[in-house]
Amino acid sequence: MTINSLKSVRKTALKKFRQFRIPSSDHEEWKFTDPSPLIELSNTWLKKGIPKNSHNTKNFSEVTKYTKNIDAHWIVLENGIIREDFLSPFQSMEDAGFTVERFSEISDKSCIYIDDPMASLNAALLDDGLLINIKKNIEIEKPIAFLLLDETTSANHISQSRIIVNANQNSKAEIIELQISKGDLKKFTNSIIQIELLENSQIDFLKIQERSNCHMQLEKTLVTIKKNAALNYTSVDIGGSLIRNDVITTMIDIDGKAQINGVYLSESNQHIDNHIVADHQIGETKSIINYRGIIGENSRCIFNGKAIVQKNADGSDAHQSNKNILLSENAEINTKPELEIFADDVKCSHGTTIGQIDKQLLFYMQTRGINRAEAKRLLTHSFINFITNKIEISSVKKYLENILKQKFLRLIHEM
Amino acid sequence: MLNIKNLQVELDKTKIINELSLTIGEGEVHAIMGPNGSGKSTLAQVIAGNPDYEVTKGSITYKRKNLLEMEPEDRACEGIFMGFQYPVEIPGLNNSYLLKAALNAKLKYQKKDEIDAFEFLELARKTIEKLNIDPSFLNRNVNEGFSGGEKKRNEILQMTILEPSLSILDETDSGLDIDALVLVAEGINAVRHPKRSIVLITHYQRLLNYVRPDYVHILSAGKIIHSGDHHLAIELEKNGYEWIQNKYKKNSL
Repeated sequence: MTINSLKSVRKTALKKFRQFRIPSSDHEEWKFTDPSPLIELSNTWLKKGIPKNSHNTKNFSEVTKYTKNIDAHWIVLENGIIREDFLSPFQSMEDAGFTVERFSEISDKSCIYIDDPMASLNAALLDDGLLINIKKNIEIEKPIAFLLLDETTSANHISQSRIIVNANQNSKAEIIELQISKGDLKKFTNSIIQIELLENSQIDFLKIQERSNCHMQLEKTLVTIKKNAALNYTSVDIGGSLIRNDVITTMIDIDGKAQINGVYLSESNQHIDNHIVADHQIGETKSIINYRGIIGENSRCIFNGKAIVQKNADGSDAHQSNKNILLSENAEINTKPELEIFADDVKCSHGTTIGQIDKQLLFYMQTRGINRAEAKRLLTHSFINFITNKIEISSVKKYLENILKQKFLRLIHEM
Repeated sequence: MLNIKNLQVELDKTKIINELSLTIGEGEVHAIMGPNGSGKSTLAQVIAGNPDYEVTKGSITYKRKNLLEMEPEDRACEGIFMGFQYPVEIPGLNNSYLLKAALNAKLKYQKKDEIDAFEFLELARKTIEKLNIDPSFLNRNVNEGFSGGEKKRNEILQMTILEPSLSILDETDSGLDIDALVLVAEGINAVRHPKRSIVLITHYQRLLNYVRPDYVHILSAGKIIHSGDHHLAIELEKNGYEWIQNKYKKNSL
């Protein structure tokens, strides 16, 4: 049960990382998000060894503040480490239809992916991680919810977190990933999520990112989708100073489906980058990517959506859309939908729009007695309503509606 | 209620309304008719407060207040309602949400208690029943996927719920088939009240068969060239705008 049992994984990963290095903005994929400030940071940590991440068991209310809102199987990770004082008894999770294991406890550690720079860095500095196994032929009633609480205890803090989810045949589960930070010191999180969907399984995944304005985060979500399995992924980015999300879905058998939705709302000097890939390895698979952004003040957002239809993946269906509203002259969006098609018989589409709040709509609402700022809030909120409208669990919907409302109050505060 | 004096309005430096004066008293129904481009819609937009139009001369007072100094939302809260010629579609925004927000904005402005969700739903249900409107209107997004007739009826629904003192209906009759026209007219007649005034902006006389105005004004080149009672509309329908324009020219010579 000690870190030592991860020693060999860490060693291999470190070796890999030394070969890769952290990419720089010369790299096409990192053109708009320069990860080089992280090089120094990670080097420091690599020299120092494992960051001494501890958790403060006193701050119970800090955790329940979030967990009490949503009825779920809560799993709390503080600085990447599981907090056992908040864990429901393993037996009750087992009864609900899933198991939770620490990486340090599992015998076969080959599932820990290390084949790219950030994943290898993550593994090289990993304290521990979680492996969730959703049992066969089961629909889990309550959502499985991860609270990723990162606390900055010292300047330039760094934390790695990794969660692996395996959805076995004919299973269905809802997963929530709630990301929060505490403290106002500079912080860097490198998070990796690996999801494998076996035949006929379904996962509805909702990520809500509410990091603080001194928090940098890279997160990579890797998803493999097998026969007739479906991923419904939703990402909501509200906080963070520099945020980079990579969501990479690979459909490896027929009738695999990936629906990847996201919204990003940025203010002040925030930088939010979403790189989404839907890789159709085989035909008769379907992907839909739909992202919307509202970008205010001096912030900058990036959207890059790529659908790849591999050779012989005929009968694939790939669609992507990205729409943006810029709220200020200094706000910036770099959007690039891409299609790479190597097959003949495919249905693909892509589209992107950038605009401002429609003056006519604004005037219409004002003539109905609604003041300008409130009208702007309602219009921008309605622009991203498709995300919340799809959420069926009312407590989750309520929580999300509330934080979005708070964000819109910060984003639009004229008059 | 409304007093317009020597109004001059420009849009992108082009003069659209020129020396227009009009007085609308409490409880009166006025029809403003005129050919395309005569400035009818501009007049409605200016009263509602569209910032695209620049008032270069003249004044508008409403309930003894200087209307031109007021924000569009304050005009609405003071009781002015404009029914749009082309009501906008707002995807993602629920129709009943907008209605409730509009009603509560007005109540708040008047320092009255806001209406709660339950009371609002009851009011909305009663109103749509009275107006013979499909209950699904409330759950749909604002005008999204509505037919032309449905959009106009949605404006009438908003007007009925907001109970404005002054309603300006900009070509609410255009694009309606006869059945829809009758329903819209019934909606307008239902808000007629000794304390409420209505301005109907229209091309054609046919709406006026169902809503009889107290006064009819003919607008041409940004000016009211002739006023009369509802007989004027009938005469106009018979003889066309050219007749009245020529008559006005002769008179002024």
